[in-house]
Amino acid sequence: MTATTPEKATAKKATENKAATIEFRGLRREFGAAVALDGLDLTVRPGEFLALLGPSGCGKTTALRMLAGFEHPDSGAVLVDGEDVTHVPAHRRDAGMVFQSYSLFPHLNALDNVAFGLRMRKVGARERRARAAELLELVGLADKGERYPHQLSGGQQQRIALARALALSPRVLLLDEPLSALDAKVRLTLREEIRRLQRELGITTLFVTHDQEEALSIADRVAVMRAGKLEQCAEPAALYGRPATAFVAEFVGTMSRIPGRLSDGTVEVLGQRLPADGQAPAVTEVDVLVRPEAVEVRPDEAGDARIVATAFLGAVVRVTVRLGDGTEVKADLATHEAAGLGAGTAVRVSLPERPVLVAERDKK
Amino acid sequence: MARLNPWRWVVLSLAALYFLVPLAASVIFTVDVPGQGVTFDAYTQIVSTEGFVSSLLLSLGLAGATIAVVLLLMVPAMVALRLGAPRLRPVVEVVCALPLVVPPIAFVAGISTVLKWGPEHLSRTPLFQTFVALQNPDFPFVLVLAYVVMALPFVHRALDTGLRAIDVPTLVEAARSCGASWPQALVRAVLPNLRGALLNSAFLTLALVLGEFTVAQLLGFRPFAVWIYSVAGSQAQLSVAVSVLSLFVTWALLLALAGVGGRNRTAASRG
Ligand SMILES: Nc1ncnc2c1ncn2[C@@H]1O[C@H](COP(=O)(O)OP(=O)(O)O)[C@@H](O)[C@H]1O
Ligand SMILES: [Mg+2]
Repeated sequence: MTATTPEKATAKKATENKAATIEFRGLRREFGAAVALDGLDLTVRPGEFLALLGPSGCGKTTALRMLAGFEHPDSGAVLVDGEDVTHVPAHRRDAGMVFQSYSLFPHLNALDNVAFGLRMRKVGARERRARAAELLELVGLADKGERYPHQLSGGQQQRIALARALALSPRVLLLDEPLSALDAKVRLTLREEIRRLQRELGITTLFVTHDQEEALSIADRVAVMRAGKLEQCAEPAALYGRPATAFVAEFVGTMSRIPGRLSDGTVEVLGQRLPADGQAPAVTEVDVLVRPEAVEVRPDEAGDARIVATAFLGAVVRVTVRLGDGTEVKADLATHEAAGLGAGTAVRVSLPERPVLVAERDKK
Repeated sequence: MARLNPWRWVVLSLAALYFLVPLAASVIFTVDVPGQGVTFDAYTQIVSTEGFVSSLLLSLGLAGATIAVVLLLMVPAMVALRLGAPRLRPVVEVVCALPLVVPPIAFVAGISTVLKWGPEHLSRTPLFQTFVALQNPDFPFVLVLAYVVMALPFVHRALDTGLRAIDVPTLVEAARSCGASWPQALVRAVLPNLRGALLNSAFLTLALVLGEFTVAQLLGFRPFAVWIYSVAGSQAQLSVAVSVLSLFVTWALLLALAGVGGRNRTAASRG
């Protein structure tokens, strides 16, 4: 209340919009017996849109809340622009946040919701309204300023929550599964809009999601988490094409495992010899990891593989094939190629002559 | 609006009869004096009777103080409970319901024992003055303390209902990420959404204090309800007139409270 001058100073600094670097260093947090974060290390570059991806319960929300200041690590540190903010209270963190659940203030209309932060910073009424109107325009809801939250759809509420999070021109934008409560169509348009806004503003953004398709389609880089740790952080194409671990390979996109024998850097699989990609494990009994679009399936009376199921996905048909040894492999075929391939058809499965990913065999 | 079918009309009429007939009878009894026709003497007499204004003011003062104390006590406690220790909620619920099962007579017996015991043992300490001040007949604060306890079950219920309707932790975090300090988050983001619940609590407490008789009478103070009782003994017509009047006074106060606090209530309690 009395310390208006330093607060004004931070607001001013933020409007100059210098994108920040975020660093998580060895974050650890336990809730009773549950380990939410188990030594998380991650760096987000200035102006980057980073998606934090992982199965439910792997600690994504906890990591985000530590950056927002709502949760405190048992050990480790959170750094923004090299400055340790681990002990800075939430309201001085300079981080805008959009929550998973609808979080607009029910007693305020859209405009006042957006202006809430400016009011806390003692910005004058006129300037406040002007800035809030500008932000509503930015999220495409300029005409909904007088509406109360209960008069708005879920998608509109999340847009307004986004405008509210951006109102103070924060150094980082935090989004915790902001689209998960919305229906599929709204989810698609809103995620593109979030991406467009982020590009325009150049703000460092951390986007939490458990939906790999969502993460791959909008992020600059995707950080995959597993049980409180970082598994891999890479650009979407690299993550999909060259996953560092079997967990990433199977979590991101669809992956089938086909047993093979590894020797001298090449692997024998489906009667072919293919070079092994990257760091090959030091065992001979391995699984080859293949994406459905890389699997070739041809009808062949003599083949010992059988089609067990087909699913029409629009441009492609996903067929599930059971090999002679009982392994199931998924393959995507163009719709016309799949025309004659009903369940029970005998087929031959092959892989293109390219290096393949191998992993230690699953002990099942 | 839903159409009222015949059965609803029957039920509604029966309920109206049940409430309105005694009320109408009371009113007629007070204005229709045999041999004089309709006169409002009984009512004009009330206002001039000794003690009317002072006892009513005392009751209003007690009600105001009780509302203030019970809300200042319960609102922060229940919000903190939601945020920090949700598992303690059943415990607090049971504790707050206790005043319902302790009869007022037993409660008064306890209070008067303490009021007697206190001054005897503390006569040489500054606390002695506290005991004296508590029982100041101009404003017996001890009654406020008693009424706060008696209002707990109702206030707890009303606030709990209000808090259930909003997601307190998320609202607080949203406010904090918008740069609000803890107190600001509570005052600006949580309290306005509890407006309906605060109003209900105030209603119930006001009605309770205006009508409370046992504790005040047994401790020897004279707020409105006790005063009604004391004039009732002397003049039958006057006492009924006073009851009718007190009913209308209570209604008027509740309506006023609703008018002051309720302008935006529907908008705030939805969402
Ligand atoms: N406030 C809390 N109290 C107890 N356990 C918690 C709390 N927050 C998170 N956890 C636990 O920590 C783990 C990680 O949770 P969270 O970060 O919410 O995962 P995610 O967002 O990836 O689904 C989970 O096992 C969860 O049960
Ligand atoms: Mg989560």
